[in-house]
Amino acid sequence: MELNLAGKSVIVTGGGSNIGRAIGLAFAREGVHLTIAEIDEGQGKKAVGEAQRQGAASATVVPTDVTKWDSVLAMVKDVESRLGRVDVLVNNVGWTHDHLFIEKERAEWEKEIQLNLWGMINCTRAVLDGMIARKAGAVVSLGSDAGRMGEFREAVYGACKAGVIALTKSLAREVGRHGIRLNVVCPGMTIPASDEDFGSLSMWAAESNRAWSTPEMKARIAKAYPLRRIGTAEDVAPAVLFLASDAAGFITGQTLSVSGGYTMM
Amino acid sequence: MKADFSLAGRVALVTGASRGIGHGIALALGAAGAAVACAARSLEQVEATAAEIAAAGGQARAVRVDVTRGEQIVAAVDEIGRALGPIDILVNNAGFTLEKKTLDVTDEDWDAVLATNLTAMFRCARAVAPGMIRLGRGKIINIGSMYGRIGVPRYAAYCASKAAVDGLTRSLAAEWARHGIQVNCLAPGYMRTDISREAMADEARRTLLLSRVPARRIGEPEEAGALAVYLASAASDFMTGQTVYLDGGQTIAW
Repeated sequence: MELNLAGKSVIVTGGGSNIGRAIGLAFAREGVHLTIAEIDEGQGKKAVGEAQRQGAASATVVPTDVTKWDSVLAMVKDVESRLGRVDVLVNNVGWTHDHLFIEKERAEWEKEIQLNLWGMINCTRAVLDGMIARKAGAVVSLGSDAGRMGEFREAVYGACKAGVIALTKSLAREVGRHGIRLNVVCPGMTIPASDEDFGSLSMWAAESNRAWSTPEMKARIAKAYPLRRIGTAEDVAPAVLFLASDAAGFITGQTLSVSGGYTMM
Repeated sequence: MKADFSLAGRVALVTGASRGIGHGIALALGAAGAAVACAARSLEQVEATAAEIAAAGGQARAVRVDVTRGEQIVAAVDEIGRALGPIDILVNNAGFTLEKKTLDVTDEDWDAVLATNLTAMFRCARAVAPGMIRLGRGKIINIGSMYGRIGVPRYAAYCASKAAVDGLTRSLAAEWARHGIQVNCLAPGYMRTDISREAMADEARRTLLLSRVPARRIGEPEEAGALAVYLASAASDFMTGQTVYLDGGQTIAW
């Protein structure tokens, strides 16, 4: 099946680490012009190097803080001036730190809301003008099963992810008439394969999240999934590619869980 | 390696492959490299589908099956196994709609809709699963409908049957996940098929219909084919028990 992604201008936010990195590289292998919008420029540069080796038409890192409107706007303008357009936005930046709601500090909630929800609002708003003008575009945002069914120690994160799903559905209604599609992919827990796959600003660098990576813990987590394994970043990437491509031209407003059957709804 | 949407070396069974969505899916699976068993009650019509796949360079076989007859399903799975090899992919597509005021729906109407749209899917899945369990892999794609999610007057039996397809999908997904079988539901909205042709030909009805679809158009059978290829391929190996709406956003906007 032809995805016809070659030559498209694709932005992946947080494309330097873990899931975002795998998504960016999967797009690279399809021959896209890849822009990695990253707050961690060093990690983004490493991903850019790999993307170039793996077949990207071009690959560029643009230092971006998705929580800051000015930064996002400058990033999108940079892409539009270099490539003339944004065909695909992948809202991938996400962050959480597992902790009971009543034990969490307000500052942590604020950070989660900024990164998980404001980031996607900012980036989506910034690309829409160009997409409306060209009557085409696709946005794929990373949600979470926490936003569909709720999850222990992920109350505010889950609320943000539910927000992303509602944001997507509402915008799908508003801009469908302009030929723009928006969809959500919900991965399960996706533990990086190696320490090389994420930078120091990634949620996976946080001590509390490192605890998930022990072999004993991984074996326990795998049992929670009907497919009896923990998903990888590479499991998630094809779903994003498909939804971003013309092959999914009639699919909009949908939420797809790629999580081994953890959530079925 | 590029994302693996290839179906080379795989064997697929598509029920109701003669027309509309089933026809679109059969062609797409064939183009993606699968050997496709095209099944329907009328051999003549699926022979045409199989010929189209072959003309495009693919491998296909026409199989006569009435999916409401359990013994015919078992015989067809056996025949396909001998002719093409064990079935890796089942597309449970055969189905029909019934528009009728519910007070006028007879027991026979109701039973006929449930027999084709629901019971036959269970029987086809039950017939192919032992082979998939032996292979340690398999993909089952059940064709649902946005009507399984939204309330549509005069479609009680159809809506109920398609909502049941969601439940069947999730249960089979949970039960057979450990065997490497993924079960998902492809739920179309308004598509360009024989069923919608009449509505689309009338301007007033077309305008009303499209005003409810955020994408402002109906779907094409080829688009159902593309989604089916994704759901049948290794690209979706970590996805199971999901219902994907192919409806231009209509379900979310209801």
